Amino acid sequence: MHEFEAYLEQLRTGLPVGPRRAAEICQEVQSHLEARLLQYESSGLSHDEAVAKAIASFGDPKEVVPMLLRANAQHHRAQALRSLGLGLLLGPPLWYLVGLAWLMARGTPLAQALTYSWPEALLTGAIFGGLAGVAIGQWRARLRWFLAVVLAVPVALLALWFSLRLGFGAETAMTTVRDAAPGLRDALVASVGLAVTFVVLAWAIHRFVLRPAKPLVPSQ
Amino acid sequence: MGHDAQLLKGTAKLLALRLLAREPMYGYQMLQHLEAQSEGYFQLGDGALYSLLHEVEQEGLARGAWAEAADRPHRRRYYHLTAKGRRELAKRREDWEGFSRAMAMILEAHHARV
Repeated sequence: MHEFEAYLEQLRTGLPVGPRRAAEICQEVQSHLEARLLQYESSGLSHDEAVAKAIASFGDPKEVVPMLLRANAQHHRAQALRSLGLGLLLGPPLWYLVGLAWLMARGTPLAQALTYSWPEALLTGAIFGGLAGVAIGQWRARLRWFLAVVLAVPVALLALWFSLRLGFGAETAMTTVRDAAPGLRDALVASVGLAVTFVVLAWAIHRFVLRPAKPLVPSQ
Repeated sequence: MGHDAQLLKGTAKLLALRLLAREPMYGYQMLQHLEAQSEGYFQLGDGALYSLLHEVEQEGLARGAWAEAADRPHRRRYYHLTAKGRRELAKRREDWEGFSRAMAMILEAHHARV
């Protein structure tokens, strides 16, 4: 029933336990709320009063969601692992394409761009992809952590770049960026570009892979 | 709740397992039984009950299964006690009876002296 949709949506968005499990929980809660609604209506309450009382009986989402999350910890962990796996799977190839695009944007012919040593870059992609996956899998429950990961990326890359410039680093995946961006401004641009890539990847996984669950039972 | 919430929190799992030992039930039905059989004494929060049921299911003490409801358009999720759940119930029941006897001995001894 649509009276409960807003409430169920609050529960759904607060539960990073996978779309299927979240839908299952919401269906169960919906079934319960409807039973309460009938009970309160038959006791003489108006429809609106009964809806409000049914929701109040179930509890404030701020209190209910953490309880449900603790009780569904296995699903929560499984979701985090799925997200990590997707990130590790999608991160390296996307990173490779970003690297190619970067070099070609700077005038490097494709044939030459393809000759760069990519294994390190793919490793970097796996690391960032993994981070993105974990962040996306958790962001609804731990938004601050998610934002921290996103914001940490350009900072970490800048630190890496400086260490390479100062000769503290060996040949790493970021050598490509160092060679392509010899000045501070270019390094900043590279870092921002990297951060944007990271966020886009994170957003894409969230939007297309981990999209919010739809209720299994359509509202009446 | 008409009593100490902490007291109920510590015994809620035992109560839930006991109810499920009689027959598979869905959440709302369990709340109704709990309230009716305790004459209104036990009033577990609705949200808290479902958290408890999911916890019990995660621990393998019960298994949830959807079933069609004859009188309603939507399905209900019934919880069935597992063999592990029955063993856990027996253990918790024994613990509770021991605890209850010991408490009674102390309280009655205290009462006799006063």
